[in-house]
Amino acid sequence: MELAPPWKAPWFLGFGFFFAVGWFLFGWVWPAPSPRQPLRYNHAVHIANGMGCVDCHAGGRDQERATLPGLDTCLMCHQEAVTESSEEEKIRAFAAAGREIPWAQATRVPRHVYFSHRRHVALGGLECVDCHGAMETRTEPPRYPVGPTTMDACLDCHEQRKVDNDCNRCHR
Amino acid sequence: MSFRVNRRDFLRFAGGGAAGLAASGVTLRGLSTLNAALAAEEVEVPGGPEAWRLSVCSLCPGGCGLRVRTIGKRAVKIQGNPLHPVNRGGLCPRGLAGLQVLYHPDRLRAPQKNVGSREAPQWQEISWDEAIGTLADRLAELNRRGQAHGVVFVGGRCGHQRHRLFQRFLRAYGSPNYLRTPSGLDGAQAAAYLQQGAREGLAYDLEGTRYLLSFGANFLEGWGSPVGAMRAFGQWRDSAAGRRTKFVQVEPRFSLTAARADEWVAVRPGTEAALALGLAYVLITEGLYDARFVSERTFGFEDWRDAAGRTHLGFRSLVLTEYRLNLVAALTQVPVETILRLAREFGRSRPGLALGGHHASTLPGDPYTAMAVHSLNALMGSLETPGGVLVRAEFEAEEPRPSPVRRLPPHLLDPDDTLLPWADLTRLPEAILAGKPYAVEAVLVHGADPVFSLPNGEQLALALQRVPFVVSFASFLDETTAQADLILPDHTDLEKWQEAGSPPTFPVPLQSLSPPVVEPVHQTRDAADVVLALAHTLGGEVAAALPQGSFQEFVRRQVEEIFAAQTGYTFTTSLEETWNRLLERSGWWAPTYSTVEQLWEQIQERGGWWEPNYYYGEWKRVLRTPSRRFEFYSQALARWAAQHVDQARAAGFEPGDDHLCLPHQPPLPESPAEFPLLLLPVEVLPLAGGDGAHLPYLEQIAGPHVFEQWESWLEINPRTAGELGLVEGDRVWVESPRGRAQVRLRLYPGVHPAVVHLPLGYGRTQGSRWGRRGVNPLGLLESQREPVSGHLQITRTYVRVYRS
Amino acid sequence: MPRWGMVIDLAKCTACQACVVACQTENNVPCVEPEQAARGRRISWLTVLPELHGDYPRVSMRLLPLPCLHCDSPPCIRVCPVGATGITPEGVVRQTFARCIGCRYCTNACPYTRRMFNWYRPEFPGGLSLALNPDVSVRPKGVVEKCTLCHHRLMQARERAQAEERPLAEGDYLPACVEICPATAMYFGDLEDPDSKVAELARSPRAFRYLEELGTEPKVIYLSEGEWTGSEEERR
Repeated sequence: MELAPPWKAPWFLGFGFFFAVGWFLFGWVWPAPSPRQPLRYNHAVHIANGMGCVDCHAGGRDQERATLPGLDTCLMCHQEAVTESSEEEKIRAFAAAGREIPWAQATRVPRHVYFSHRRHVALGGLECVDCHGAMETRTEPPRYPVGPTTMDACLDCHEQRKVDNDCNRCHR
Repeated sequence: MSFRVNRRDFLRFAGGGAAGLAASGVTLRGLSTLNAALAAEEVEVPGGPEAWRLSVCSLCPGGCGLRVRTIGKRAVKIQGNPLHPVNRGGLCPRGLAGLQVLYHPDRLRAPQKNVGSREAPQWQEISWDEAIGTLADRLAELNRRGQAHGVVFVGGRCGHQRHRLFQRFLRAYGSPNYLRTPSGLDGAQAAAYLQQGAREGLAYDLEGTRYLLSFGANFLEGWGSPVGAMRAFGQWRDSAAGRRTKFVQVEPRFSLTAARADEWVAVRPGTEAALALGLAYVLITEGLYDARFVSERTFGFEDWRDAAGRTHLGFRSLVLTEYRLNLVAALTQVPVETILRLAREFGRSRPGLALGGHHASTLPGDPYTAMAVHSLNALMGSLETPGGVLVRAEFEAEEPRPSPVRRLPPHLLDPDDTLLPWADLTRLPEAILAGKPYAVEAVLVHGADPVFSLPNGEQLALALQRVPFVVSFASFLDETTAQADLILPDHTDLEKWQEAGSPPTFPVPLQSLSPPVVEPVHQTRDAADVVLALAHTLGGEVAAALPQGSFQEFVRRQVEEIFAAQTGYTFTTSLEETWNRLLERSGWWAPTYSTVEQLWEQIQERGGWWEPNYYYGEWKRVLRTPSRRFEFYSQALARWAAQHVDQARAAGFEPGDDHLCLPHQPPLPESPAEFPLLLLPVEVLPLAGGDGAHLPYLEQIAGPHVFEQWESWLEINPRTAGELGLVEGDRVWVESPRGRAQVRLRLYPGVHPAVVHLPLGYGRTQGSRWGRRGVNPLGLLESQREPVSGHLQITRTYVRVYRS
Repeated sequence: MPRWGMVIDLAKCTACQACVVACQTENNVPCVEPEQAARGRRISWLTVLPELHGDYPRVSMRLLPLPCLHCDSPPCIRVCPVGATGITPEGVVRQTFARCIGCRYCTNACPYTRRMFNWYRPEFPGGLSLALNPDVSVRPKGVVEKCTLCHHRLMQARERAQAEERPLAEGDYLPACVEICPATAMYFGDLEDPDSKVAELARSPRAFRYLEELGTEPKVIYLSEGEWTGSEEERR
């Protein structure tokens, strides 16, 4: 009897096809679990009320690191109830408990990368939206990075804008 | 071609598909999990706002100004304060290692009391209220029983104002027994006292000198204010300066200081005094000395006749008859031509400086050697002159008297009866053990580990067992703290209000002052605040003497005093300083502040206040001997000899022997046949002051010349090792009559063939995980008292070395 | 474009090793445990190298502070199979730690032994990790590391200068070792700028490069010790 070559075997075809499907599904469609935020912060409402990015994310323009707002920042407006939202109430609950709001940082670069907001925003003239996306449309807090924080994305942008790609400028 | 799928094939396909799906999931998730497990755990380095804050280093007495970088609430880098006149932005490796002190994993974290015995202590954490309460009760009880004078406070490394606070507390409480740990400079200070009458404040204008002769002072490895010395060294050799100051190191061992000197003179151990007097011989016979200074400002150079008509030996006759070059060369093993050349160079390079009487930064050298060396300074007229020996005019407000003025009982160690007018901590063990003149009821120790660092530390450990109550303010469980009943852990430098006065050998008054840099890492408290709290609890006179609520208020008083004195400047750049000096010369004092508040703020912004000008020619302050001159023939020694005839005789001086009062070469010890090698402990900069072995940063760089780290090493001359059949890296026993210890052997051609060396600072048995390594050479040394000054000598122990 | 270089005046150096510790604290270099250090696995981007000559009592010793010499013709970068190391247009021999595969070809190629391999996971016991510098990564196990000339300081200095709308001035950017030196024996700056202090010192007759004969063209230049030239009176 003539033996069929193994790549024609049905089990092999099945394995190959579903392996490829699984690779796609697990790798790209269901991304790694993302952090949960302690309260459902609404960027759209705040921005519509005339607030700018660095009002809460201090340092995002002229410091190396942008920051997440501390409780004090929130309480500047939310000492008293502004809305009837139960989410807003959580701020005062944190304040009453004497705890900082444990924001989860969604966007981060790897630790071996030196990234400076000052270099990109204040000196390079980028806008926040270029990397962080259109936050003014978001009613839920982000749970995973909006823009791509891959080296490819960095290099592409650097090439477009004719910024040099010396490794040492970013890798540390 | 038709494609028929039969049932069996379909099942195979489906089975394969399920496996494929599973495999893909496992691969991606699995791989990433596997990857995460295998990959090195990344260390989280949180960010935060950056700030720079000033502080002061107290890891040695050098008093360098610090500039600390903080990220959020963390201190991440220590640098030098560029405005600080002592270090001008530079720093030594010890100062940099302050971060490892702050964040050390083995720091004492809270007050503790010993609920076990002294031999087998068991530590129990207690609250601060209980700790301070316990101590206050004890002190109040002693006071009630009329035994307040039996309390001894040992003050070690801390700023000037803290010493003042502790001392004031103790006096108001009723005890005169404030003791300070010995400094290596005490030898040179002894010479300055015996020949100049200066009890404290010996200083040098290092930057201005043209020729430096160091007789065994480890100038670049922990001497005086280390960074100050290094800065001067850099200036001597700056290519822009034009002239280079010659630096000659006279020392038996080729130390790193000797290696960096212009010339190393390998002298036979213990004969530095003879060499100094041999140089004096040349200076005198060739007329190279400053004849005018000698005739106008010195006493005892020529033979002289006293009021009773008796003729006394003068320095000139002593040197010319007893220190002829052939004798000196034979004794010191330094060739005659070298002595001649050095003396001529020294005589022709003015101003020149001679340093001596120093063994290590906690071990003073022999006072007679220091006198011989200091006599060279007087011969060359290098007193009260730029580039010479100076005496600092302390800025000191009058210490408030306890009211009503209280008569304190005599000091435990009775410094009035000894030759030198300061209390010698090494005498404490004897006093405790003898119970004379009175019993010691309690010992409080701050900033010091005397059980480890005193040559007779072992004896002190025994003595402390007889003391009913021992309290330690240490940050680490050190050898002394292990003997305590109560530990009140102090803040480290960056956690408290830091201050320092003028460091040793610094010529002008200075006060560094900075607020805390970071919040306390553990449940520790500033010892100064604890003592203030204690004063309030005790009430009465003590509380009246120390009404301040915190150390910050206490130092604020000092700033007010500085303001009231209407002198000096807050720290400035070198450029502004030059300008200020110019103004001052034409009679202008232009301070940058006009109110106390401004001064207080500026001091914190810049790191401190100082008086940049040294006023030369204040002879009344500088020469306070009975003759009001520099005394080659010390009348203080003569007075002592008259009062202590028996002791003088025991030292080998019959009444009327003028040698006792003149600098001379002390007799050398004989090496016993069974112990052929002299053991000399050496100080290395990373472990200067015997401290630092618990800090990895410093351990790593401890012995670069022998490629050694983390461990004691025994330095031996390769030839000597060959004769003993030992090779590099051997584990050997070093045995002295007192005991033996095992160490690694390092062959080093810079060692005298009849000597072996062990570094100081190793061999703790307590405390941190990293500090308990190596051997403490002090445990092998037999210490004897020099009969005249009473100094403990540590350079006379012989050992044998054999393979283990 | 600047060409960064360092001058070390051996006459002024006191061999105190402050530079060694300053480098270590600035760059998050872990302290390896004593047992590992005994096997020669200590990491130190900058070490003070003793060279001892002679017998007692005629001994001499040169103590050479030895950072990466940032050669213009570095042997280490040619052997890297993955391009993890290279030379920047400003002359800094860089190492991209994240890209290093730990083959250690470069550690063998460097004639000055200035490349160190992480044999162990970096440990910062107790609170010691609190003192880590956020500007510098902590290199994981299995990666070769080396002196970066405190490149992060250059980045920050440049940003500061740009924000203040002025060119980078001499002294704005100093590596940690140079900044701390208590005897000011180390100088740093632009070798290309003829007026800079380093360029001036590099032209000194005392200037030499370490193991120059290897053709590595180092940009760390030493000034030899020199001698005392006699007293004032003798010269007159």
